Amino acid sequence: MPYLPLVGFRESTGALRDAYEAMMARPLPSVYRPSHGGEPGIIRAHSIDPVLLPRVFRFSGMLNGQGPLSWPERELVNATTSRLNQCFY
Amino acid sequence: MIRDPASAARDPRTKAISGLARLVTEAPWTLTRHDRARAHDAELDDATILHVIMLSSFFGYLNRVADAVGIELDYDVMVRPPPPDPETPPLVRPSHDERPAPDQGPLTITMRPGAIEALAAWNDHVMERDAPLTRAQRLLISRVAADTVGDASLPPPEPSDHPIVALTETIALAPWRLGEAALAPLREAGMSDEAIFDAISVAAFANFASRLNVALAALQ
Repeated sequence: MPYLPLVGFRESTGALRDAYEAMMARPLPSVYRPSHGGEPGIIRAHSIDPVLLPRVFRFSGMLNGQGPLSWPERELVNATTSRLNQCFY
Repeated sequence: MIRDPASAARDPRTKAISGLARLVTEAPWTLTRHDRARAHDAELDDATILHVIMLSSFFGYLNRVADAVGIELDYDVMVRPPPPDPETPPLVRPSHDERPAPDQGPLTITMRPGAIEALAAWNDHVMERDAPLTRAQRLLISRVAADTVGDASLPPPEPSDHPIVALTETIALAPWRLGEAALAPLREAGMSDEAIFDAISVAAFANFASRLNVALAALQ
């Protein structure tokens, strides 16, 4: 269970709803879409601050939308970083 | 491979990429111009080195927010990664002598299109607000986070026993120890959920920004 009250897309209203809708309109490879049909947990983790959410993922999009690292190379960087930080994400 | 993703690296290019990500994550101040030269030998150009450093620093941010907030794994995976071991010692912090001078290194984020604008928009929201945390608290968190990775562009923090200091140190140095217990002192100090998330967001952002600063400064 999360330690803070997170709000998913289905329960969201107002500014958070708008932020989720903008996020979901972005191109996202199908492997990053959870099979439960909701938003990825790392997006939901930012749901307490709907202004922060799009700014973090704008930065993410800037790093992931274009080279020079290929997609598998980006995943290698992310997996290496996560493992050293002992984070499953 | 899940336990040690770097083991997937077989050729010089992927080994170099994985090696750089490790240095950025564990000890960014130890990067030197020799690491840059070695990366060039492995056919990584400066734009690629910069991409690795920015991406690894940013993923460190996502890891820290994920752990501090306690999100659950929502992807279907065949093998679950091992759980975090709270007994793992904290990351080492650099001594004062090991801090790279905060001068401009050969690589800057201006080399990556859109980076300055995206970073400024993020920074403005996280640092330039008066609530829930005060600006003084944001600055305190930034200085504590800078100190953990040897970012000499900010002065050392003034001593403080506010619980946001201990939380920032755990987020920066031992994210595998995050959990309800790490947030309890903030709740006991009367902080709201919004204020606690604000502290997490500032600490993880400041750790990311300082890690990036230090890695780029150290490369010169």
